[in-house]
Amino acid sequence: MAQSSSQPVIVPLYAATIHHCIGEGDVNKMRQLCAQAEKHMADYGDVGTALEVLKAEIAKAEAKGG
Amino acid sequence: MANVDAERRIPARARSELDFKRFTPVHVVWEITLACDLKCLHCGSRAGHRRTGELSTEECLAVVESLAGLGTREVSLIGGEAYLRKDWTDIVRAIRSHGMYCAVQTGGRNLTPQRMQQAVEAGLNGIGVSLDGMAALHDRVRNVRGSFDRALDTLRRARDAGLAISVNTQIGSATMSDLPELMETIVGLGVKQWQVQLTVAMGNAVDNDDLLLQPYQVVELMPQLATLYRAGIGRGLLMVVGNNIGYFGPYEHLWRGFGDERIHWSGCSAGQTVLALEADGTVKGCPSLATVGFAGGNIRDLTLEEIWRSSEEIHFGRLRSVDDLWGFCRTCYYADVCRGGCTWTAHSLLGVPGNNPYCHYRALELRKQGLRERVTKIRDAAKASFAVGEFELITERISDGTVVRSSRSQERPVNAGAPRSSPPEGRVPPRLDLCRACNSYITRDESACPHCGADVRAAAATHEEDRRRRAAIIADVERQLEAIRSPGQRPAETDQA
Repeated sequence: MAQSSSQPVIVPLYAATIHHCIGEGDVNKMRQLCAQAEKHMADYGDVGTALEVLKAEIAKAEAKGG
Repeated sequence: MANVDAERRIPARARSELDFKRFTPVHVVWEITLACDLKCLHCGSRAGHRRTGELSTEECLAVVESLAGLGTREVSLIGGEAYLRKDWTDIVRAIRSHGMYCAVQTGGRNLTPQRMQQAVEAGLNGIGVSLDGMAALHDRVRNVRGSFDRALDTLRRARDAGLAISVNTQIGSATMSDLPELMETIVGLGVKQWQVQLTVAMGNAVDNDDLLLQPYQVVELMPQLATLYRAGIGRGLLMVVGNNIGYFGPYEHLWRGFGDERIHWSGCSAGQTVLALEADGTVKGCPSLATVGFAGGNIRDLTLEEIWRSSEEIHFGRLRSVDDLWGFCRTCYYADVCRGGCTWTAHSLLGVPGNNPYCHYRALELRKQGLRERVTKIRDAAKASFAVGEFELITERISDGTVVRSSRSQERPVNAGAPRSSPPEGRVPPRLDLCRACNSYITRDESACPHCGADVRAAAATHEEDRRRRAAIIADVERQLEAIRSPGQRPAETDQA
């Protein structure tokens, strides 16, 4: 979601589920990339270093509550 | 990230500042019938049979016209089971003809291929299917054997029909152990959004109060939800917490903004940007609230516009302040922003809103004092739809169970009874800052975090360094993945820190 000063607020009401939203932000993006990299690792085995860097950074973020 | 970017859309129910100021009923939840083919033990509306005097087709179509005129952008059809109305696809078609997003919330037991096809042809955008655990728990709570399998089948067919699909899960006393396996199941079905919320003490759930989570259990629940949230993101599943899960604990920054950490809980939105209808035309500010005390009128007596603009029962959310809070919530650090969390949850439990024990921040603060809260039923609910009972809220020592306080002896806010008019302009949700040392929200004038003592500015600077490093890593990995995807190109050599 764009980091504007008047970003939209989404209010999930009880049991009325929402569609068309995804997890954003840098930590979430790293998690998504990690999943993609793991898939490529499984398929081609050639993104090992990048995957390790990602995992280390995610661990750092999660240690801080991200 | 091409796929993620291509999917990025702002949901119809997202509110702008103008929506808040103008009291636009952006999202409407509409019970179009109380008829139901499930017998849920926690059903707040005690659905089963049709309501007396449910709206006719013509009346429903007139409601749709009114909603379009009020600026509504999303309508969620609920029941009972919405599809048990023969004209439900006429209502869907009318909603869609005005460009409003239309979804149906369902248990999915008898959303047959024919019914689903008719709904797709009418323009239905999406469905949310309720799954309250794995098969054994779900079937027990939904009180119909085989309902879990039917719900999964409905999800698969909806997905294959091109509808947006999501799952809705109520969390009660027996749910936590099922959540990890349930997440695996719905990821496997290709579900993108998973909404979770607490079972509330209303209607059938008062009769079956063993289904309710105890307030002190949120200390165990919230870390589990955070773990599942993080695990789901990488696999394309966004956990969305409902409006009765919160508030302001160490994971608040995960829940509301879907990654935008500036967004946090900012109070009940009932009657401000949310409107609800019962099947007989009764209008409320939120679909879950009790009918008694919160019904603002009936569209057979007044127009929907008149009710929305003038009903004091609907406007309570526009007027609420710290003066309406009591118990822990009244003196809480977040009182003015939070305003007691979900009105419905607190009112259903204690008979008066404004004191909500289902709060992570509160449970953690009490735990620091060696205390915890639990609830026990003292009055059953009437057999009517949306009826509430009453529970006693007991504060006790964790060490030996000694009762130190009871809600029965606590002072509650005095309702002056004087008519109060809606303010001319709505309240734009206030904004708090995030302490980057402990992830607690703080008021913007704090220089030292009142929760962890950190230097707020220094913690923010460290966070900014982290953010820049992450941005570099993300860019580098994206380059490498793109190179792998593009035949003939090699990943660029990078100087990764």
